[in-house]
Amino acid sequence: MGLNYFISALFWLATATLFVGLYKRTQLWRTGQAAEFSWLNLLAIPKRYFVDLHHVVAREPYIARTHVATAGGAVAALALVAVNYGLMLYSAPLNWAILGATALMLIGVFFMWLRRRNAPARLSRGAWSRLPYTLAAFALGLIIISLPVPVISGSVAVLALLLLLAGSAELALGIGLGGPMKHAIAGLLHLAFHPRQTRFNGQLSTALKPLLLDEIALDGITIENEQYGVNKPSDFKWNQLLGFDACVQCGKCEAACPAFAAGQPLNPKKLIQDLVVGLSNDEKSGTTDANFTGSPYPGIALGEHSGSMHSPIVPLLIPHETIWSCTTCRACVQECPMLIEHVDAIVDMRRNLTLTQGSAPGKAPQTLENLRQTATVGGYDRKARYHWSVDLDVKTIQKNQAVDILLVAGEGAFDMRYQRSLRALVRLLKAANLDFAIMGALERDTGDTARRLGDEATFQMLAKQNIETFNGLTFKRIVTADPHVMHSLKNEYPSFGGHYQVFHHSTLLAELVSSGQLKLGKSAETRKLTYHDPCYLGRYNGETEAPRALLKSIGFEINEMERSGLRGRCCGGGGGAPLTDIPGKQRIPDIRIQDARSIGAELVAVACPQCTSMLEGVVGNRPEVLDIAELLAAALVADLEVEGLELKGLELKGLEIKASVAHD
Amino acid sequence: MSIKNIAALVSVGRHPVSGEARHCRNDSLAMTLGLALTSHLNATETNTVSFKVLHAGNANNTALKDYLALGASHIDMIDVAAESLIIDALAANLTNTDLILTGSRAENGLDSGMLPYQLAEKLGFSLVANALAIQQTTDGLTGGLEVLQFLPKGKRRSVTVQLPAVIVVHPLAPVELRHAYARQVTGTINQQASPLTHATPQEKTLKWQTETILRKPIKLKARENKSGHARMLSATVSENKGGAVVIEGNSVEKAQVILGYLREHRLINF
Ligand code: SF4
Ligand code: SF4
Repeated sequence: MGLNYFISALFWLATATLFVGLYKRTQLWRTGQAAEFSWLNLLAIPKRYFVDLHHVVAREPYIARTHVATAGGAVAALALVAVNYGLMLYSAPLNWAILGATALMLIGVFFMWLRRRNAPARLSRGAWSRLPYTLAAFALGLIIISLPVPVISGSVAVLALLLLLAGSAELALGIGLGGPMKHAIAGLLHLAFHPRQTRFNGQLSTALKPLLLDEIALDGITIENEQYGVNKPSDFKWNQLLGFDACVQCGKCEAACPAFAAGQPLNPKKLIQDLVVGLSNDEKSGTTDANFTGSPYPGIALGEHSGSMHSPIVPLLIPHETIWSCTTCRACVQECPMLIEHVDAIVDMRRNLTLTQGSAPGKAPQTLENLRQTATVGGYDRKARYHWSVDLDVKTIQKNQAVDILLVAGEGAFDMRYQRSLRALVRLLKAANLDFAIMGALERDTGDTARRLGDEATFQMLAKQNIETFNGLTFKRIVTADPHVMHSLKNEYPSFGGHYQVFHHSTLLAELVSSGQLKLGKSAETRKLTYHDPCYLGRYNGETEAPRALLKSIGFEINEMERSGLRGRCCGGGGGAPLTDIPGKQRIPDIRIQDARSIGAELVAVACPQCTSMLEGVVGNRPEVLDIAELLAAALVADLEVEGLELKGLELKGLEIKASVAHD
Repeated sequence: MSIKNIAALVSVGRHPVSGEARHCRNDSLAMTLGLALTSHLNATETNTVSFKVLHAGNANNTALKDYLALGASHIDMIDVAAESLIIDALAANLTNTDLILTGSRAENGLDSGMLPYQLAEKLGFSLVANALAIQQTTDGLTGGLEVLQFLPKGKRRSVTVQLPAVIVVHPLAPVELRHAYARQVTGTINQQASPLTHATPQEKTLKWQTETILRKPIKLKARENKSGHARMLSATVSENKGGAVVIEGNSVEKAQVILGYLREHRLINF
């Protein structure tokens, strides 16, 4: 039958087109830098697709089901077409199967179309709005030809062929021309060659990759090589470029981004799409971002930026302020169904700006200079870091003196507000009879801020100095109340040879409470409480339970705000964002406090010095912000007993009394 | 006469809090001004202008690399045995220079701020102090430079200076410093032997002794919340300063009174 041969021909033509397109696209990806990878990972695609990727997509069940029907139906139909028409079997039962698969696809497409009619603002339009129609055309065409009727009239056959042609064009040309269907192939390959392979082993992979500064210096490679981070799209690793191409422009990252919500000129989805514009154009085309059909960077018009594979990204393709608005909160990464790593890309570009031009804005340059010259963010005297503890009778660690716990206070120790939290923590540690010591003047900043601001040189200098200090001390574990300190020490120092057991104070305290070593009564607090998850504790370190368990143990009911746990909303304090201070319409902490207000919370429990200062910086009538340690310390059994004895005293003096009662 | 050679003199500074050796901020401002002027002249003039960064002092100081990161592609370093020889060493190196830029004073060492003056005297150059900005004179013919000078209380003055000259940059010059690690890696420091043989120091080496400043305790003062009228009054009429004597009660209660007072006057905030 003539029609069948047509379809076979069309199938092979489409397949050939697809491969030519794929070849063209791979050439673009290969322009990127070398990255370690293994072909064997191609075998892991099904598991990664059905488990890791689906895990993200399933957060929105409507889309998950729609996608399963559409993609599942399409893949099944295509596979069957490949057998039946590609191999020219033309068997009737197979046609039935094709019919079934295609019907499933059509149902999926219908619901896709239904949603598109009332699409949320985060979705892109343009070619993406076309997709339901072209896919429907493909499905309808396929349904018609696989209908179990002996002869189709000429005009219907032509119609079916036209429909099929339109649909196949979408499927086959997508990858080569950068259409929406590019996502299918790039997405699957991205799963195989993802730059953070450990993400698929059920581990959190949040540490930034070190920049090989020393090697660069030794080999005499100069600035012209632009090896300090990413200057042009071709400076990305090839698998990063592949990852950008996987983006489906679903805008989930955009919806989660605190900077976007605050009206700062950043939209992670647009950022990824800008990089796609960069990687898919050559110098001559001068392509701008005008074809982008989603929300632009707030306050920055489309069409004014253009880029190509080998021209500098900032500021030609992506404006300066965009790069410096990010708080590195990883909310975008958490939400991205294609598992794209936005933060890595942003830090890569920041590294280049900072290391080759020194052009970080705002207070960032001063901060970096402080870190280089005083090893503190604020330019303080390191010897003053533990002044808040002078009257608490705390050991300062000495060489040749072993302790169980080394308490690392971090930069918050210079802040008078946060010193209250630290003092509360010390009271708790004492009440639990732990053997701990503070670091004293030996403590240097971990370099976390420097690293997020792209100053890898300063970070590595501090990391090496700190590791040297730690190596000269004897302790079993490190405890800190600062999740940023924790992230650096625990996740990022291992690359430089520093392997430590690092705990956030909430994790340690939760352990002590559950083992009964720390005895807490019930809190006298009656106000309605909510807990704000620090990004660097939740998303970066997966700890969302210990703080909640602690609060519950002293009798609090936790009222969750919109966006909590691993999907918590950022306070705006990370990534050096308060230093670069890119203006927006609103401030990020205001949005977060609004979350708390809208559930009627009168008390916000926090677990990070940055969150404390950002949320406390909100003006007007707002809930009180208290660190978990402060809330717990107020419920210390020892204290309650003392109060029962009516031995109330001067706060500072009283501590001694209370502590001695605790020992009795 | 048009400018051909510009030099910036840089010294090793010291962070006021940590004591860490670093670039001297004021010298960095001078150097950055010089870099900007050089690239401006090279873009507009026909003859090429050369720019050099010069340091005289101890060769082993690692803080010099800060100047590389801040934009010097190359530093000439003269190894000088004694501080008293620095002027001579610099002067010998700068005879062909048209314009010398320096900061107002070093951050350690003898720290007298006299170096630019002594150098200008030795070389017979004009000197302009407290410069905030430098540009070519607008008529272009005289070959001089127009310098915006800092004067107290927000005043500014524009002066013209004939070359060769020493221009001393004010610490408040509005210059943005950009520290880039990559430049530190690619920049070079070139060590030159001192033009003066160590055998001939005529001057006596000064013996300096460093000691730490003893900080005097500062008396915290409660902020006054009085009306303007009451303040004027208190200047003429001697009044009762208020306060209370607490002799009753135990030590804890007394301490509470003091705490209360401190809190009321915001001398403590807990
Ligand atoms: S980057 Fe990820 S989350 Fe953002 S639009 Fe693309 S696919 Fe969606
Ligand atoms: S890390 Fe946070 S601030 Fe940065 S782009 Fe992603 S969501 Fe936005």
